[in-house]
Amino acid sequence: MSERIGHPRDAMGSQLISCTGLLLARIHEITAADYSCTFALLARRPLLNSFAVPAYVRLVIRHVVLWLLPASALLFAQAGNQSALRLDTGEHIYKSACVACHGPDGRGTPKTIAGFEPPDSFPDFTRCDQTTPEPNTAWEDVIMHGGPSRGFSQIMPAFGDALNLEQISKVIEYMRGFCRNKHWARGELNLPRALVTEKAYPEDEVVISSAVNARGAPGVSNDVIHEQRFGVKNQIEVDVPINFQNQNHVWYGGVGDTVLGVKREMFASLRSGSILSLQGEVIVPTGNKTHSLGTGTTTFETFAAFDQLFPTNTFVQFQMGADLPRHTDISPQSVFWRSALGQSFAADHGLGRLWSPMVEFLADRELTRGAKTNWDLVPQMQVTISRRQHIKANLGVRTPVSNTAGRPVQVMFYILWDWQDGKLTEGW
Amino acid sequence: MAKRVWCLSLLAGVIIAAPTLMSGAQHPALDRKFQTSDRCLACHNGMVTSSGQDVSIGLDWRSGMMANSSRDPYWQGSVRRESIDHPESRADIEDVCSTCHMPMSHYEAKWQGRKAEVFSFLPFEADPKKSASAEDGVSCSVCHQISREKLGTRDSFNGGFVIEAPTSPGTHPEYGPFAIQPGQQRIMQTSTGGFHPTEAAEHIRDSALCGTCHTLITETLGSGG
Repeated sequence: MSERIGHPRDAMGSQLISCTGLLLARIHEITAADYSCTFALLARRPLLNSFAVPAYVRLVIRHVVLWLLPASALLFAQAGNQSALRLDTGEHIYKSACVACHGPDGRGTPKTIAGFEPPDSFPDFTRCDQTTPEPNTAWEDVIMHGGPSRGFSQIMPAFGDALNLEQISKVIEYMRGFCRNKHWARGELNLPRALVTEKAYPEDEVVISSAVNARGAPGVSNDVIHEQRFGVKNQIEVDVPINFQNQNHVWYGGVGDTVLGVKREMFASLRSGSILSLQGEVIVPTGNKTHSLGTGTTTFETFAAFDQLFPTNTFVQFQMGADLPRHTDISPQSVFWRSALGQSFAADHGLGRLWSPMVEFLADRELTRGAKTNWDLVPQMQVTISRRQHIKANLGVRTPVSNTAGRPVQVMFYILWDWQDGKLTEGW
Repeated sequence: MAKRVWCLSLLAGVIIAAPTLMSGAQHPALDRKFQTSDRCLACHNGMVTSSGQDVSIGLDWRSGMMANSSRDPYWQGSVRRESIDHPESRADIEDVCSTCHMPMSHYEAKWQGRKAEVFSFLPFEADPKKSASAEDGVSCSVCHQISREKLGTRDSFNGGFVIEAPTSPGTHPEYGPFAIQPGQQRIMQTSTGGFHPTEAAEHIRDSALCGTCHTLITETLGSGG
């Protein structure tokens, strides 16, 4: 029945009429059956005759019953008609507008029935790993403006003139239910990535970042970072730095100390907008210490990351941890504290290109006697580049604000690819 | 070093602005075009009226002769027979016969100023995108784009129908018998790439529209074409 319900004919109202038609057909069938039973009962007269009721009273009762039943049935039918005409639940809306292509279970209607070749990006709503990383705004945008609005297939129509915002919200909520595992952190908690501060959300990303010394000793440090989720709450990370240092007017370049890390999300709540993760890393001394490209010793790093999103799309991210080198005589132990404060703005009532100005406050301190805390300030702007918002860029300036001697001002930049959302060439 | 910083900033600016610049460069033309039936079937499938009557055109059409007009082996064999008998007229034969059996690829060829072909599409590719317009037969967007011009006249016979030109970029009129609400208009327009449901109660129900192909007056070919 669900496959037959609610395919658009000439209006959304007609879709509902389609549903209503079937519902009414059922109601009429039941009513007709009830009538038959009633007539049969009345014909047999077992109940009425079992009491000592005068014949004229039985006649009156019989007429009253005969008139009341159709009247109540009509009222019932009208009530059914009205209730079916309302798109008041997400399930009604889904079964009226979405089920023809996406199927009653959210996995997609088989090609032989749907009649079209599903695009590569065709979603399976039961796949939590595909659906939970996307915030509601992404779903809203696609439903309202159609697939091309986020670089998806044109075959996904725009329902913006057929459904209102409330109805779109309801159907999204219903579709969210196809993912049965509620332990996946929602994409709303995947806050904009700052230039230095690590976010708590486990991600599928490739980030290529660069920091160019704008003042101080010439140097360029780049990082190629690959992050990949595994399981529901975990993520691995590999960071290969490629650094170039100018020492006494001679440039040295090469791979720095490679980072291997594992992150685990400890707590996430969409309701409170909070997410907490712990990460452990091994920093392998692959960089040349002589040319200041590496520390020369294996270092263990551990940190906690906590992100908080507020209803106004303001957010704050905290990261605090420690670097614990194996040989402290080569490289001292240190602690760090990083935070980012930002706000996201998007055109088209929050559905368009996302701009996220942020400012980071960075502090680190070596655990040696007489060491001072280094404070840096990093104003920056992150912006989504692709329509799908899976390619993002960030540009900022890192300025030392304490112990400035020997510490350069850096122009920092990254380009981020959320590869789970599509290929580099897709989504434009 | 300052120069390097400026270059980096410029590069970042170009990357960020690129999508906007690229999207601004696209201007849809007022060319006539067709859409394949898969875009129509996605919605025109499993539809019922308020009384529960199944009015799904999608699957009914797909199993009918209209959808299979280009795949019909008897037709293909007939065109082949004629082409073998009159090799000097092969191009004309393919051009004429494709008018009603492969109308989309026929008109696409006409709009490009060349004769339509039949056998260059056969056998149909496993990848439907390569020969979709030829294979899709008398597809939805052929009949529903036929304008009222010439209908019922002798000029309209033998596939002499006129495909309506778009009224503005991205609005190819697709005539139907019903008035469509704006919400549904946008659903169809966005999922088909600019095909706009347009009420035309008169001519879309008129048998003169069917008569454009179903009134066939063939000319015999003599020796030498």
